[in-house]
Amino acid sequence: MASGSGAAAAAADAEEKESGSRMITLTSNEGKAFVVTEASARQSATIRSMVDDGGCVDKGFPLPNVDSKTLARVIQYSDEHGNKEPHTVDERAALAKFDRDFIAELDADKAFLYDVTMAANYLHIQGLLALTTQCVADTIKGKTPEEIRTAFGIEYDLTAQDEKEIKEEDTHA
Amino acid sequence: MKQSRREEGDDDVSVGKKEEEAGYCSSSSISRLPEACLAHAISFTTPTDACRCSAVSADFQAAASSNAVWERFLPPDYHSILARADDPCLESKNDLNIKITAQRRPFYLILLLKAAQQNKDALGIFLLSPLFAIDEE
Repeated sequence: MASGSGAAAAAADAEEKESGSRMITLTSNEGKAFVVTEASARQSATIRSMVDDGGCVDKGFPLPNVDSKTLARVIQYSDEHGNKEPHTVDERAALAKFDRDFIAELDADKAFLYDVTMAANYLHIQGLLALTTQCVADTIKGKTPEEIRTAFGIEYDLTAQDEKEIKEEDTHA
Repeated sequence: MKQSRREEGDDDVSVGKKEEEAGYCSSSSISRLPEACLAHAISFTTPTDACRCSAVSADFQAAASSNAVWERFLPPDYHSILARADDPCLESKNDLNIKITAQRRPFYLILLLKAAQQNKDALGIFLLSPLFAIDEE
C-alpha cells in the first residue's frame, strides 16, 4: 500500500492516479472480503480484464473457487509483485528472495501448494502459476516413473489396455 | 474418463491396490490439479522427464501428452525447420526406429508436433512408443 512522506508520496499519488489508485474488494468463497490495491489485483489477468471492461469495481469481485486461506496467500504474492515495481538490483534480489521463501513455505504443505496453484490458474496470475508449477516440476525432474509415483503418493492406474498399447507400439518400432 | 479408466484398472493385477480410492480423497493428492496445471508443470521439465511422466499414471499420461508441453520443448524457429522438412518421412514406419540422440531430438519433436496437428490421436501413439527408448539409452 502507498505510504510515505513528502515529495515521494506526492509523486506516488500522481502516478497512482494515472494508473488508477482505486481499491478493489475480493471476496472468498467463505464470504470474507479482502481489500487490495488495483495494482495488486491487476496481477490477475482475470480481474484485470474485468476492471478494464468497466466491470463492477465498486461491488467487488466474488471468487467462488477460492477459500480465505488461499486468497490471503495469493494476495500476499500479488501485493509484493503488484504494489512495487523493482527498479534496482537490490529490489529485484529482494523480490527473488520473497519468491524463494514464498515457495519454500508452500512446498512444505503440498495440499496448500495445490490450492494456490489452482487459484493462480483460475485467476490467471502467470507469475504465481509459474512459481508453483516450477515447484512441482522440480519434484518431477530426473526421477523414474516409480520415483515420481512415490514422491507424489500416486497409485499406478494405467490400465492393462494402456500397457498393451505401449508394448504393441514398441514391437512395431 | 478418469472413472472409467479406474474401473478398467481392476484388471491390472501387477501394481493395483484396493485403497486407491482413499488416495484420491486426500487433499494433498496431486490428482486434484487440473490437467492444464499439471501440463504446465511438466512443460518446465525436459522431454525425457515428460516421457517418464507418461508412465506414471493416467492423469500424468494425459498431461504429459498435451501439445502445451511439447510445444515448449521445440526450438523457437521450429516453423522454419518444419517448412523444410520432407513430408514422406512422417508416413514411413521406419522412422519409428530412429534412435533419439541429443542432436536428433528437436527434429523428432517437430515430427511429433506435426503429426499431432494432422491427427490428434497420433500424438499419443508417437509419444508412447519410440520416445520411451530415451530412458533405455
